[in-house]
Amino acid sequence: MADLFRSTVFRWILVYSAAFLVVALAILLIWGVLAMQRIEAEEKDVLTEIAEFVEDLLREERLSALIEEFETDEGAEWSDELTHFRLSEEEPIIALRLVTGKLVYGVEDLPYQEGWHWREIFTEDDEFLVRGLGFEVEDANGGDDFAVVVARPRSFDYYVAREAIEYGVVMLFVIVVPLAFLNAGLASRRVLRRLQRLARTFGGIAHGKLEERIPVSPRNDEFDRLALRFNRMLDAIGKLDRNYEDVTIGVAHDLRTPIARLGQRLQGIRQDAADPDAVHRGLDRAEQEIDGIIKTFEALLRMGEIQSGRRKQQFRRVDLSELARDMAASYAPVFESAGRGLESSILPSIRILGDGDLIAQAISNLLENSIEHGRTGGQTWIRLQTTAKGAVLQVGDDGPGIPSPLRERIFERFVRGDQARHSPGNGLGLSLVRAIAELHDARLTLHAHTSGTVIDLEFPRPTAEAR
Amino acid sequence: MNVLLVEDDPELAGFVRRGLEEQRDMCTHVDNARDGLLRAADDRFDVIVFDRLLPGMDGRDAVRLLREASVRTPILLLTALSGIDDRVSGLEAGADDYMVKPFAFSELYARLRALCRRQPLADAPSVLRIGPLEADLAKQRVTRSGREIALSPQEFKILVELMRNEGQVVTRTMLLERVWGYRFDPKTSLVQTHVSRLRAKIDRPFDVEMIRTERGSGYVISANG
Repeated sequence: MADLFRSTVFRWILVYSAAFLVVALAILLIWGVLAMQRIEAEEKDVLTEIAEFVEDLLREERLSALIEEFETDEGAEWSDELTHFRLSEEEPIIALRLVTGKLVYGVEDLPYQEGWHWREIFTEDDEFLVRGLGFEVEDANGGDDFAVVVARPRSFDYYVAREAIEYGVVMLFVIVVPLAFLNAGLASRRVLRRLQRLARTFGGIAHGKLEERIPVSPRNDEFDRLALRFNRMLDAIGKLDRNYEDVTIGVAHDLRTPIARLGQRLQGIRQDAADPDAVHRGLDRAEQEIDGIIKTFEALLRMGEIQSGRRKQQFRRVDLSELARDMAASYAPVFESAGRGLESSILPSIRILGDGDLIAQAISNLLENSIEHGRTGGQTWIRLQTTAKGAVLQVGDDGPGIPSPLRERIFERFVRGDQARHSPGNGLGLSLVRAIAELHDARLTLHAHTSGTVIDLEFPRPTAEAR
Repeated sequence: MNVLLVEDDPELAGFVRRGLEEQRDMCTHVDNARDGLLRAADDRFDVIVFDRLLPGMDGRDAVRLLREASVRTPILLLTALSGIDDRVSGLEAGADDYMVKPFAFSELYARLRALCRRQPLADAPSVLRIGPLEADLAKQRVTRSGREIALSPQEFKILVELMRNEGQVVTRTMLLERVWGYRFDPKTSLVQTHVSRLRAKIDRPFDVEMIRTERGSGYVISANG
């Protein structure tokens, strides 16, 4: 329950309901007041008409006609009974006096007061609130001057309207308030339940069940969209996690083997202690092993440095064409002595903003990858061209290519083909290329449907500053 | 060669010192930056090896101080950090070379030798000569015994680097840095391939092999091989 009151949905529905209530009350009250004013105006009209009528009769000195009009047989002063009866029937009453104050006709208890006014009339069994209109009538012929009050109780309509408004206000409170709470409770419970389902999945993930996914309904509502996003994020995290595991296992595996070999060499040296030449050979080999281990660590550290993005601050204008041409010229003899060919086709003066050192390393890694895995007598090419989006540097060969199960992960750390495991190298070359590409916002792609290995490194179009 | 070694790690210092003494070079070792600065200013050393991570002082700042005090002795900075930025900032401070620990002694030795031999640019001759071999830097022309030898730009740069350090070992890493400008270590035999092509052109047609491979460390050029 406490959860419910803390729930945002719950609070929002209450807030909105309160706002609705205020608006409804305002409409009801404005409408009611207008209705009551209309009724009052009608009542005043009726009294004014009566007053004018009485004034006319008096001017024509037709008091009898007036009496006739009120349909009373009684004498000049009305009985209490008559007054009560007429007031009960919402009929007008009258008090006709001489200006001196003497009652000529009508109700004794209705004293003269000029203009519109309210007056309470007490009869034997009841009391009435009446609206009165007082006025004086001068006789033009020198006869008596009169002071007249006509009055009428408030109409039943007025009371009905007032009651309706009061009732409406009460009903609004009685119905809307509990309904708002009910709505808020139900809605927030549903939302809470869905959120709890999310929270449970999150909890599972926090405890390492990275393979869990949030169920997505076909409704495609906001929760489903959130779940979808979240699942996608989990996929990415899963990939990172797998990558991390690979790195850990890779480091362990790739270092365990050379360290174990180093251990064997040291044992061998101990056994050969009597033969100085053998000891020297053993030491040379041990040093080679250690060099390899240090190189692996250096590559990892370098990758860390690249991935931190710090080197972006040192980006300068780099003549990619010149760099690629130099690399091609430097590597051509290496390819030749390995029994391969290196063909280059490089468009001149393509410049980008970047780190020349790192780009050189990326190209070198790609070329060396090709030397290592290409086929004897095969061809490798390096090409640099411009495209609509920027510049593409391509390194490809006609070798056996990368086996398809490995293609997707070839740029990850320590991922190596089975046959590559037995050749020198640490499985970091291509992942270093990827890190360098990412630093330069360049797209790194492995061509999918070619027999050899063809890798594109697509640099974005340089900004005006770099050109 | 008279070397001043400023290094706080006794094991590394001993390793360097033994290596230098084996080569019959002199080595003075101090283990803190203050003594290092004092000795560097006093004595006339051929080359100074300064560790970057000394207690209480960054070796880079020490180098800057020495350069401000007009000490012109070549300085090699040693560091455990491998970031490129560190290398650049070390060189900018006035160091002449930079090495990342751990290193092979042969690499350090080759670099120290090269630093000792380094001549001020104004005095550098435009034609290098070793025995019958001549390299004209301005014309980019190489002749041996008067016969012109056509070299690729990389081969020419390698030859110049070797000739400038006549009789001294030039390591693969030094060649990578100075000929190609690479700060990384290619897996393949990039340097070996170019050097063996150079040797094929410089030495094969002649009786005496001038370029010699120093096993495990680098290459040496000399008049009689």
